[in-house]
Order: sequence, then structure tokens, then C-alpha cells
Amino acid sequence: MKKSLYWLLIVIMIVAVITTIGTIGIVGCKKEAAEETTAAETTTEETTAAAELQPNTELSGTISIWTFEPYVTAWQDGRFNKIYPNIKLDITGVDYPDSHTKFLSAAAAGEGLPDIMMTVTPLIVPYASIGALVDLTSIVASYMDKVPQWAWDLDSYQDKVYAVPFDSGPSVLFYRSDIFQSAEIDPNSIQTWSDWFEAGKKIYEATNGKTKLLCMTRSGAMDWAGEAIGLQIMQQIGSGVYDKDGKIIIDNPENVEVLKFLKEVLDSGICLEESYWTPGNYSAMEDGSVATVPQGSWMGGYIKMIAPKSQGKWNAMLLPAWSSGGSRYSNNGGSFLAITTQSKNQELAWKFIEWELLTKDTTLFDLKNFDKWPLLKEDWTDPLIDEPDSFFTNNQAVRKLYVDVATNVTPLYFGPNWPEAYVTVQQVMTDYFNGKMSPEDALKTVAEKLSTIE
Amino acid sequence: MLKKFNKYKYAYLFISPFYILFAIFGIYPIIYSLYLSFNSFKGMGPITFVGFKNYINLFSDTVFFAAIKNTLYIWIIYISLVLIFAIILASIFNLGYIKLKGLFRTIYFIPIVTSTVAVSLVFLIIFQNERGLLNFILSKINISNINWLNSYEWSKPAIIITMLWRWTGYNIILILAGLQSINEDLYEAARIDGASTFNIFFKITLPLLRPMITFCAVVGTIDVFQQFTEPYILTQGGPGVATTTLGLYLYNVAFKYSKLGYGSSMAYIITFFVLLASIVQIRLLNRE
Repeated sequence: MKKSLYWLLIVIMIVAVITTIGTIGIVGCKKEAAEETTAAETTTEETTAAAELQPNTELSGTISIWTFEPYVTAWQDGRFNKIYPNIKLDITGVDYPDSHTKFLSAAAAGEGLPDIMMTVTPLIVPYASIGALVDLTSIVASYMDKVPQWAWDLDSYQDKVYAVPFDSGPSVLFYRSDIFQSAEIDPNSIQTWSDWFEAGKKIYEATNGKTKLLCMTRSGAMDWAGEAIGLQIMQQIGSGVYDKDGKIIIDNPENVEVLKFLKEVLDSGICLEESYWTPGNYSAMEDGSVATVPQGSWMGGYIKMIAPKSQGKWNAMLLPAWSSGGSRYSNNGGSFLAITTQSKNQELAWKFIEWELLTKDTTLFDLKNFDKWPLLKEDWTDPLIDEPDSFFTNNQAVRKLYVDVATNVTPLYFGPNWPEAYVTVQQVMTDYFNGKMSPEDALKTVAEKLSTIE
Repeated sequence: MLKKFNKYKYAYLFISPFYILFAIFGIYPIIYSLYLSFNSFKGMGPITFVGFKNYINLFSDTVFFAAIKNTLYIWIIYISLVLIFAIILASIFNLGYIKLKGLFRTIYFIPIVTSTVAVSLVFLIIFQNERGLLNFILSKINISNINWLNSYEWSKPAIIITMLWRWTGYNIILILAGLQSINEDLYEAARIDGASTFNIFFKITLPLLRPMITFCAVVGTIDVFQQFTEPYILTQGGPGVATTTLGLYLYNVAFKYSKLGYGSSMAYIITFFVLLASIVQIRLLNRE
């Protein structure tokens, strides 16, 4: 009896060990299989708009998607399944920047990536360069004219397209029309950034310091993931961190003036020093503690979400220009959808991307419901653009403004090492805005540090 | 040898699952990261051998040195404060006449079972600059706004406060266990000999608590050197690099900049520091 119990225990244990080893073996095999499918050619037949009206029941399967935008509700409410009833969507909400680390670990493990990955513009090149994204060049060929060329430029690596633009952020100046009115400021009089600064001082005096010009912090003013005011201005004057070819241009002498200006604004005491994405910032938007928000169009959607009580008190106008008569166009933000090389359903994944991003019906639906700014040029002439938006004072048709910006903008270029580059810029610039170095030294230091990134 | 093995073969068999799992999830990654630390690897694609380049680069990396400085700053202040608080509070709990001991102990222990992320998010609200709870309370006693999260001087204290809130309770329980293991007879004898409370505490309680204090200090040290969540959520390592700790920088390098080779070499250096710091503490606290 005692002996047989002994043996039973041993058998159970051996089974457990074998299962463990077996699982590891399976994981290993899967990894190899996943590597073999790398760069597999995806073939798709031309889909005509007419074919999409009829439900396509032939295609079936499940595609997994990682997304950090709340628009997923649009996909989940079944609109996609009306056209492709047999394609199941498996959607995982992954916060940016978690999506980045999650992506890297799944890529390194050789398994675990979704079929479709959402990512921000500057990460396309790093991802494509390690072979994690599928080359879409031949598939998107028929869409080249339908999307602005600069958007294709941003998602290309070595002249191959690896992603399709999801949205972009044409920058405008959101302002509180009620506060402007009570401080007797005519928005049309704000032509340059210094006009804007003067208006801020006037508002501050008129409200006895209750209302400040904007939320801007010393660590966020030049932070691409923060307020990014500096980067938006630099873009207007054709400057930035990198140029189109990846050359470092941040030590450009024009940038010195931008930095001096921003420090002056920060030191004047009319900025509310609360970072973006914090409760202090949210409540300031709602209770009128700040009068302006210079930001990409997506901020319009966020204001609706985080400050619903301020309905009817906001308006939008073109950003001020750096110098009188200069460009008033800038862009901040933008995301892309890409297919990963680990995907086993690349054809289905493409169907989804095509439906979501390159179909007029869907993109207009997303624009209307989620303020997702489309990059499909035919959307920009749709009557929906002229429709009034009830969130804004006098039902301003803000989308017309976005079209103006989106048509005339030149993008900010990110270079191949943006995740490290933007943190470096942010760190040194924070030291500068806190008075630890001169603007010239700060830019020189950044340029030196950027040149050592490999 | 073999005879001995045969004698215990079933015992070895029974304890083997742990060692098998440890080999796969413990030893293998440790060795693999040693291998990676001599290579350049972006997460996918080729692994190229670079020799000692990663280690050499580390010594000219200004952010890395800033991270060491920040970690040491947080380490020294946090460890001293957490031990002082824990010893004082545990001594109070240990007093015979305190009622509702169980309730107090539970309340003090609760922070440790809450998620660090949730805690940090709550502290993010408390530490807001112009509309934060803490600054509001301070303004009532005429202390003007402290820019907790965005200033060079106050961002590190903000992180230390968050850590103290979270870890003091845990240390109280450990110290309390230490206190209760001290033989009552010693106190009685001391009292009969006419020793003051002050003398009893410094001559009996503290020396006998030494092993427990050492344990708390070493565990705390390891926590500080791997510290990541609080700065990640509260300050993202800012302003500048003022709150970039070794753990946070390691995370950034390996998982944000995807330099896994460089990150591995940094991990080895950090391990070396932890080892060094632990040895120093054990020596200092356990010397006779």
C-alpha cells in the first residue's frame, strides 16, 4: 500500500515535469514558425467600393488588434461585421506607452504580437527596421494619391511603406471665447506668438490672476509627449529636431529664439504649471483657469471628454505665426495601423485596415463620432466638414479650420531613434527652462547627445 | 557520492520541479543577459558582438551617473526614515496598554496590499501643483505652493513620501515580530536594576533588534535599487533627470529605446551595486 502510493506520487510528478517541458517545447516551435512567416507576401485582390456594400461571407477568421484609442467602440458595435460577418475582431486596449514596451517584448519573444498594431508616427521606422512590420508598398499603391504624400513619407522606411495613417493632429489654438470676450480681446488681433503672449498678460490682469494663458510646464514645453508647444512652433518655421533625411537640426540658430520666447512666457507667471494628463490640467480646462490650448485637433475631442461642462465656451483659430505673415500651420500627433510579421492573417488584417482607414464611409463616421482626424483627402471636401459643432461657441464649424491646416502643413520629422531622442530633448530642455543653462548651450548639448545615439 | 544520491533519490525527485522551473525562468535569463551584455540587440533582428563596448559606454553615460546619484539620495534618506518610523511605531504597538492593536496593525499594513500603480495615481492627485490636496493643506498653515512633481528640489522628497507611506507598515510588522521575540525577562531584570526606559531601549531593545533591522534594511535596499513604479507614474523621471532612478533608467534603455544589450550590462552593474550595498549594511549592522 505504502509503496504503491509512492509510485502514484512519482507518476504524477513525472507527468507534471513532462507537461512543463512539453509546453516549453511547443513555445519554442511556435517561435520558429513565427520567424519563418516573416515578410510573407500578402496578396489581396482589388476591392471595389461596390463589392463592399455586399457582405463578404467568404473571408473568415479572427484578427487581433492592439489599440490605444477609444475609437474601438466603432469597430465593436458591429459596423465592420456588417461587411465581413465572418471576421471576428479581437480587440485589446493597450495604453500608449505600454503598447511600445509590450510590442518590443512580444517581438523579442517571437510570439504574442497582434495581427494589427496601432502605433504613433515616430515608432514606425524603429519597428520596420527590426523587421516587425509587413511591407505594404504594393498593396497601398492604389491609394497613394488619396492620402497626402507627407503621411506616406512618415510611415516609410527605405522607400517602402509599412503602415497606413490612422489620424493626424492639425494644430490649432483652442481658446475660451467667454474669457476673451470679458477681457476684451479680439481673437483676430492675435497674429503672432507675441500677440498671443500680450493677450495672455491682459487676460491675467483682467481676471485678477484667476485665468492664466495656458497649461505649460518647464518639463513639458519641449516634450513631444507633453505640451510640445516648442516643437509646434519650430515646425512652423521649418525647423525641428531632425530634418527629412534624419540630420540633426535642433542646434539651428532659429531655435534659440523659440526657446528664449518660451522661457519668457514661463517666467512671466501666466502659465498654469500643471502637466497634461493630470487631474489638475483637466479641471483647469473645465473651470476657466486657462484661456488657450495650442494643440493638435485631437485636443478638441479630449476637451469634450474631460471638460464637458465647458460646452459652448470654446472656439478654435489658426495658431499664431512665429513672425508676422509667417506660416500658421503645424501638426502635433498622429497614429498609424500596421500589420505585424507575426500575423498569420495578413490578408484579413489588410481588409480591416482598408475598411477602417481608407473607406470614406468609415473615416467620416469616426470623424463625426470620435473627432478622429482622417487623412483620406476625399473626406476633406465632404459636407460633414462644414457641419457646425455644437460644443463650440456659435456652433463653429471647426473642421473647416482643420482642413485648412492639414492641407498646408509640413510635418515634423522624427529620425530613426525617436524614443530615445525625444526623451533626451525633453531632459535637457527641462534643465534649460529651469535656468540651469543658456539656450545656446542647451541646444548644443542636445545636438551632441543626439549624435551619440546609435 | 552516488550511494548518497541513491539514498535520497526520491527526495531529489520531489524537490526537482522547483529547480527545473528556476533553471528555466531564473538561471537561463541571468546567463542570457550576461551574453546580451556583450552584444548589441534591438529586440528583433541580428545580435552583434560588441565586446566590452556596452560597459565602456556606461561609464560615459551622464544619465546613468545621474541615476546612481538619485538612487543613492533616495536610498539613504528613505532607509533611515523608514527604519526610524517603523521602530518608533512598532514600539508603541508593543506597549501593553495599547487597545485595538489588531486593528491598528491591519490599518498600517493595508498600504502594502494595495497596488503600487493605484497608490501612485492617488499621490499624483495629492501632489498636484496649484490644485493639489497637499498644497491646499499647506496653504492653510501659510506655506506657499510647493511644486512637488516638477521641481528639482521637491520631486525626490515627493517620491520618498510615497514610498514611506507604502512601506512603513510592512516594516512595522517585521520590527514588531522582532520586538515580540525579545525575552520579557530581560526587561524585567533591567527594571529591577533601575534602568530608565531610555536606557532599556538603547541597551536592550535596539541591540536585540539588530538582525531584524538588518533584514529590513537589506530588503529595502533591494527595493530602492529596483525602484520603478513611483517615479514612472509620478514624474516619469523628471524634471530633467532629477528622479530618474536606476530601475527607471534601466527600463527606459531596455524597453523604451530597445537597447537590450546595453540594458543587460546596466543590469549587471546594478546587481553589483546591490550586492555591495547589502554587504556594507550587513557588516555595519551586525558587527559585534
